[in-house]
Amino acid sequence: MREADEQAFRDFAVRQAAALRRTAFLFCGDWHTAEDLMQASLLKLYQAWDRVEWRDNPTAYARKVLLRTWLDEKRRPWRRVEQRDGEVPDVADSSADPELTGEKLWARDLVHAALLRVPPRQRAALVLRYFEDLAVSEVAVAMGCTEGTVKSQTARGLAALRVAVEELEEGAVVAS
Amino acid sequence: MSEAELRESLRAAVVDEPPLNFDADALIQRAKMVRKRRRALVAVAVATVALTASVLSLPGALSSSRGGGQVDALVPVLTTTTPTPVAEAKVEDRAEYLAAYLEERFEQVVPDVAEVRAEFTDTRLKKAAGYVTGFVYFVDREGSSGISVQLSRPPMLVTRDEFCAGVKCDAPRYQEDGSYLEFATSSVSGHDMITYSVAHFRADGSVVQVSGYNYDPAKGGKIRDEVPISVDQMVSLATDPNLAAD
Repeated sequence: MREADEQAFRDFAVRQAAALRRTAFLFCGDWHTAEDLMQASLLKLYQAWDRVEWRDNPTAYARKVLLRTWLDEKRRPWRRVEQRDGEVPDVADSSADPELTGEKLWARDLVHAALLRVPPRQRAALVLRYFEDLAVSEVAVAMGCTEGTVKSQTARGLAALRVAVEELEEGAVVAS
Repeated sequence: MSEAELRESLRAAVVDEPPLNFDADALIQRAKMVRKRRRALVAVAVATVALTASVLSLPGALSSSRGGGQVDALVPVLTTTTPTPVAEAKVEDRAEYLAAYLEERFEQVVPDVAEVRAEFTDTRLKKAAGYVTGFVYFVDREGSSGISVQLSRPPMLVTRDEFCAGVKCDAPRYQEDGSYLEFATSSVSGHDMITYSVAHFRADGSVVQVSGYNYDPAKGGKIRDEVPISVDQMVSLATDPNLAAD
């Protein structure tokens, strides 16, 4: 790779690493796995950096690579047997907003836990549509499917999320 | 739950993000290492396939030649000449020369390509009966791809029968200087991957094979409709007198 290209990749990676990790976290629900996914995606992106067709929009390609990497990772046997409970990682919460009430924190964790119960492709559609704020056409590019499929996956994902939230709320009430 | 509430919840879910210690230089070093390993693997795979093809087709070469049992003047593969060890410095110089020459020549023969880079490996350092194999990486309008070049000389010579064993061979082309050109197409069963090879069986007994692929053999990636370089371009490279093992 030429020096200028390498510098362009370096700038891009530094600029996008945090955003890619955040999206990966919403996909997988674990900051450590999210960091691995981000690194793996950037490694793949480096190998493809000289492909002419993606130079105009490397962010879209990075998003696509991240999604593929996560879906591939989920298909691996040792990931399939792993149980995710959606617990918030035990890290120092230095940037927590003191104005957030306990109720809001509970609601936030509830939605995130519920999101992890939504099937992977529907979850990806929800994250790309409502977290990344992408248009349907952009989500279709990232997911490698038609716009109609994105719409149906999003609708099903929203329905599945609502069901999961209700189930978790009922469980919390029973537990209390 | 409304879409607005979902948006807000997703944003809130990443608020307690742990600090990111991202080292772009370390990542690039890792990526380079991965790329290097992959290329080494491809080189080993190409050499293994060539060797396997030679070994498997040897009985056919010994039993009869093509064309109604007539003896082919280019067939004498098995030689009693004792292989002479090749001096290390000479071999390294030759590999460097071939890489530099092929880079320049490739750009002349195949215009409209970028990032042309050639590498040559000479296994004669490890054994006298080795191959000289090269690989040219390039990027064209459709993306990256490459061609492989194999230079053979006795005793590890590929015969015309061996070259056409197990692949689809087109009609050979006789050259005025007494040499032959053979054209072979091979594909992997169940896949769209195609390899097109041109071999120049020279009058001095040496063979130069040039193979093009409708995909990037180093990185994989998408499969093209056609091999990125034409038959005439491959013939130009295979018949180039400067491309020789010695």
